[in-house]
Amino acid sequence: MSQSVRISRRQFLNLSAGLSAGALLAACAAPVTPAAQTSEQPTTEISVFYFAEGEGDVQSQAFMDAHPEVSIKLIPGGAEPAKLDSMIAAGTPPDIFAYAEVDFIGHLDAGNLLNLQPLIDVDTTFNLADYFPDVVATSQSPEGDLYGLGADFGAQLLYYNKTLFDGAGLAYPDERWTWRQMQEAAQELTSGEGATKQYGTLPHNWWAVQFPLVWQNGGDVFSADGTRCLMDAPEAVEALDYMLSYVRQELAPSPQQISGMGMESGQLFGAGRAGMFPGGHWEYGGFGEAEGFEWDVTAVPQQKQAATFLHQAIWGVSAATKSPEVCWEWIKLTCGPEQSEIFVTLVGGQSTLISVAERLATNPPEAAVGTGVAKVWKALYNSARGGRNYSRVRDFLEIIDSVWSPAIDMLWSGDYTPDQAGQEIANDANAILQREA
Amino acid sequence: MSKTTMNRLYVLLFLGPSIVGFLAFTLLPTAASAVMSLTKWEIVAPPVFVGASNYLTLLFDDPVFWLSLRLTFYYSALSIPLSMAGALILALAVNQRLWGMVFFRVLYFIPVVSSMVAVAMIWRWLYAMDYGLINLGLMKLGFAQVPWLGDARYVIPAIVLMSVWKGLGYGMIIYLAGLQGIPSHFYEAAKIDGAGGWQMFWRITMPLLSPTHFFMLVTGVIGSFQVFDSVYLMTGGGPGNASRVYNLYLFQQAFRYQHMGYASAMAWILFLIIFVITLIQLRYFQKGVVYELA
Repeated sequence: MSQSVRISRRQFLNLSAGLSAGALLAACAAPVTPAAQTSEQPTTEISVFYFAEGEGDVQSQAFMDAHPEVSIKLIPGGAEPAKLDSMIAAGTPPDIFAYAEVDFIGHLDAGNLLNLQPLIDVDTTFNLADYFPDVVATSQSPEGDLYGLGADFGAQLLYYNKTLFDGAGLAYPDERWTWRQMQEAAQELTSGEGATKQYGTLPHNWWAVQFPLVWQNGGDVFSADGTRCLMDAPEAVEALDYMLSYVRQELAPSPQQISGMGMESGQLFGAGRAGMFPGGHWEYGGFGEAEGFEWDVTAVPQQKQAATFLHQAIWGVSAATKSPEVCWEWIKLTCGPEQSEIFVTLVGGQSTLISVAERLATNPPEAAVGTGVAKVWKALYNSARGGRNYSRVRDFLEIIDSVWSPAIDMLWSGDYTPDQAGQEIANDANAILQREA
Repeated sequence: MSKTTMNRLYVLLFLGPSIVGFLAFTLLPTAASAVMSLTKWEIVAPPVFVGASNYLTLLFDDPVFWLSLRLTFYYSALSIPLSMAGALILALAVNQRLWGMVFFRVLYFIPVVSSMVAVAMIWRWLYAMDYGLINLGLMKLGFAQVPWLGDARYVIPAIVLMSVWKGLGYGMIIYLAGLQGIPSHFYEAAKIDGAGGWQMFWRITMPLLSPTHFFMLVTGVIGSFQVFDSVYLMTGGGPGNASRVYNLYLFQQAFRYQHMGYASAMAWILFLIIFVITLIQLRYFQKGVVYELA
């Protein structure tokens, strides 16, 4: 039998205040740490900031298995840099952290990255020449010192619909294809009208797939030192004109038309509405499984030279780490043959190690044969040489958002000619670069 | 301990969390942003004092700043009158003593409490060029399709329409409260004097709603100058820079380009703009506000 107790308003307030204060103190208390479960105590602890599952956590476990004297504190971060940046700003950077290629110059300028070159120079078990040189260049300072290394890389590729190519009696594209061959194939593959129209290709609808057109034509979007935009050069303007020509000749829908259809480019390609699709190495996940749709992928076509955009997640070591040698060993293991293969199997992309990439491209593991992963491995292997990016351009994202994308939008809509777009990009981008200087 | 002291302690104890929260999460960041606006701070590197450089760059060397400001004024100029007029019409409609009116009041209020993400996604479908309901309707009526979100001419009006629709219920409730605060004897006296519905609306309802108009105008200006989520979700600032409103540009400067000092300077300029406009409103518009008919 319960008995109710009346309490006064004052008693109630006292009780509430006491409970609130107690809860506050409890919330502020240090977390209880579990007791050590093993008798062998690690002597060194490092922290590893990683993007997502499979990208650093698996490798860290392998490292701890091989080095029981080291314990690793894993910090899952996601691809957005906010968490990592906050840790750095607070003066508590992780010992090892993953960062995207666009963030390289910011970390380098700020002195956040440990120069790995002195460690590499005395390490007889490591040979930088084992890695794709164009991939390694992403995280090299202007002086050539290495400030990070990636286990994987990605690139912009050319997907093609084998069913449509077979139907048109066309040979499949390969890494030796040229702009002219792509245009001819696009013309052959374009047919029909209106809502069921089959397009030869889809537009180059992202800066990372647009930049390589300039490189392929012998031009450059930015100068080698990243301080000047060169989009007003004839090679660059020609590249923009070539890009636009597919839409102008109605061999590709404009990005606005694709948006109006309520589809992403990958979905449109997967629905069998286009013969080709220039896009990133991850795009095949969005194709769906339409009946009779068979695709393959290869390197993007070349003009004066072969070139594509390289995407990379790079492992850097904090300049503030107390265990540089341990961190270097971790990077070596993660970017080494065994873990690099595990990495790209779990996450996608291709190994930065030439030997592993070659094996995956030519003789993939049995489980991967015929899958999208294996097709992409081969295309990426064929794209790695001549690939580049702009990891040393300051304010790169601001230039993309404020200058590049608006001008290209105007190009697609017909408000700008390629010449006007090139001029405006160069002028406005240089104003931002000048401001930064 | 005396009762007064105890009471003071209680006041402190119960207000404490709010005061600490206000100091830690509002006042301190605001003060910090004022200091940050005088620095070049890119988060991953220590801040460097640059004086008024961020302000000078914004005012004299950043065309996107002026563009975003112009777009925000345009957005406000469209959205505030539409919101106020729409909310007033809706309030007049649901102020009738008819059966089921509460249901309609709730119905019109639902968009206000709906997630902006969901609303923006639905409106993106409505605005879609080829399969959007709005364009399908236009085509049925013999008009051409309109690239609502893909054309620089239409994108801001399209976002305004969505925002006005979403916020109409809030304005409706405010106006409804204003309408119901008007004593009925004014209308009874006017009827006896032979006034018609239109005359009563302009001579009684509108003047006595002037405090509500004023409130809606002031809060509308403040709110519309801070437009962000609808634009971020629907267009991301495009096509081109056509919908890159002020707060979107500020957000991008802070969290995408990591220019924290620059973004802080933008925030203070926005504060000053809103502050001055509000002062002007208080100084000049408040004179016309009628709190009671003579």
